[in-house]
Amino acid sequence: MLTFVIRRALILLATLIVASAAIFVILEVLPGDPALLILGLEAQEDTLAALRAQMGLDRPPLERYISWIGGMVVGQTGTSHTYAVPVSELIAARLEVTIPLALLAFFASSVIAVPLGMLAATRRNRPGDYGVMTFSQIGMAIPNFWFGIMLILLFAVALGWFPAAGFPGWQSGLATGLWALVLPATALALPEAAILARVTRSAVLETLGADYVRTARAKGLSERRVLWRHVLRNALIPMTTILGLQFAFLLAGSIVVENVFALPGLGRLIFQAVSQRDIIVVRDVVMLLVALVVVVNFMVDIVYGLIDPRPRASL
Amino acid sequence: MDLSTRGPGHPYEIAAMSIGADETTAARPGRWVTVWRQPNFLLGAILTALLVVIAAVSLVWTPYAVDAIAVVDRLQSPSAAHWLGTDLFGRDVLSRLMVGARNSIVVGVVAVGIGLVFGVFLGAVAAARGGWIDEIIMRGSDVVFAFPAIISALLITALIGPGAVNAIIAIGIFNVPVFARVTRGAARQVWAFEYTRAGLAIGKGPFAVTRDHVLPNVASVLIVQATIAFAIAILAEATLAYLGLGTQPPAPSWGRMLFEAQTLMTIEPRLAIFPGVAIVLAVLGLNLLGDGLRDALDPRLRDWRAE
Repeated sequence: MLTFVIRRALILLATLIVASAAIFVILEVLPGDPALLILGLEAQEDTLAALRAQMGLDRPPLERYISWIGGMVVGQTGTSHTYAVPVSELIAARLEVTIPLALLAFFASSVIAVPLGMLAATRRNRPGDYGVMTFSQIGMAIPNFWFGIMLILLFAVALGWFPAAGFPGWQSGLATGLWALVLPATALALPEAAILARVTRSAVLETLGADYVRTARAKGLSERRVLWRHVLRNALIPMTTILGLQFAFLLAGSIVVENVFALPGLGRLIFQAVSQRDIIVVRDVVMLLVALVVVVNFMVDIVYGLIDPRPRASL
Repeated sequence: MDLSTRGPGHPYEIAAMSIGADETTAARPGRWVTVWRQPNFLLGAILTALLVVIAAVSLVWTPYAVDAIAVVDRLQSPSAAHWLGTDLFGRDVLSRLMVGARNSIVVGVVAVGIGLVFGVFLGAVAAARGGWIDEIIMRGSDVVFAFPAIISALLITALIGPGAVNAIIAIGIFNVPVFARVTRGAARQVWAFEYTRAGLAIGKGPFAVTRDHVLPNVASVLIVQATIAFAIAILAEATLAYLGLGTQPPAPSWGRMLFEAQTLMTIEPRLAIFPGVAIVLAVLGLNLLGDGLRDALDPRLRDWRAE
């Protein structure tokens, strides 16, 4: 197990290094001088040179790459030129929206999908199963941003129960803040729930046919006890993988949904930074998102290795 | 599927693997006959055919010219003249939806094509060579997988500006590791069979064995994966266009139509409904078709957990 963890950790590190280098190079070959962008076309040559020196643009690329990575590791980031504050402060403020949003969607998706998947598996090829599978097929086909627009139309415009867009901030109260996140989280959760319901159904079906389930039944355990104690526990193995991956994709999906609902989260930040050519912000936020995806994948692999010894053996 | 050596990739990929795996369509010789009797596959085939036909028709005919602006006719409700009404500029919504279908298909086909060409090549090489070449290719796919398609699209937009080509590249890049992994997993199973060894023994090179024995045997898996990837590409294209990173106005795109409709939501909610329904029907059709094809073409997956 230890070699497995070490090997996975090395792969994690290598992936992060290659990904960060790719981000750095892509943004490095961008046309346009960041200093010129900040000061405008009429800027004096010596002012430009001074700003370039201050931003470290006059140093060789490799040195700048290393100082960027070193800075990210210790939390020392550059300064956004549009917001004129350190990027770390910007990110921290935006995470206050994005993390609760992703968690809420993650929670909603699990609470909806796991019972539905179990219901479908235990009622296989009966109306309940068909109902769940129809929900799953349609849910997978609905784009989260369009579902968000439909939710706004119904619950904000027509019924007026929820705000149509924007976020009041946590200082206006926990309930008010959460209320504003209900519709976006629902929009984000639906496609994920559709996939998860399907995977749960398959995983439970597979486990239902196992010998130990027959043994449990033969022991005279009640059907409910068999289902919750024996079947769901074992079905959780493939589901862990999906749940972990879904969190990473919820973070990416929040970029879209935050734009639908005009939420001041990480997704909106990076989106605006791209249009404003605020490269320092783009670089750091992209790196953060990519790192989150990679780290969550790493943790899923480790958890998977802990529960199920087979992948370890084959490495 | 080679799930054991690597954690799987995108949730869709895993969902794709488990979809339909337990259907009990047992008949072996006449499995095409059985598949056609499945309502899901039939519905998928009909919806997909409809999408293709509508896109093809839009090449030669649309009710109105797609960019014909008629301010007098703006924001009309559905009528005999405009079946789905008109938008803010008086353009016919049905005509724009038809050309939007073409746009979705073009982006989807090219993006999946990029994934197929590069992904199958890399996956086949990884399976045939093994060792450090395999390791490099798979670790490389890990890196690409770390960039969700939207992030790639944002980076490309920062680099070359927004546009349909940008969307195609971003979705294509995302598809390369998907196909590389699927190909590698399936190809490794084929390489475990003795006939591939026999091919090597009679003096064929790894390339010839891959071409003659491995690829024909993994083709069915790839067809299924391509159908699912096509559905995901249509969703991704709509998302990128909605965000303004994909197809640019005035070219019609379903995602862009939704973006424009959102600002008029309180005046004319109808405009936000039709393009969304079009996306759902197209993606649903392709997903159902992929499920049906899996049942028909890949008995291994179907019998995977047969009882």
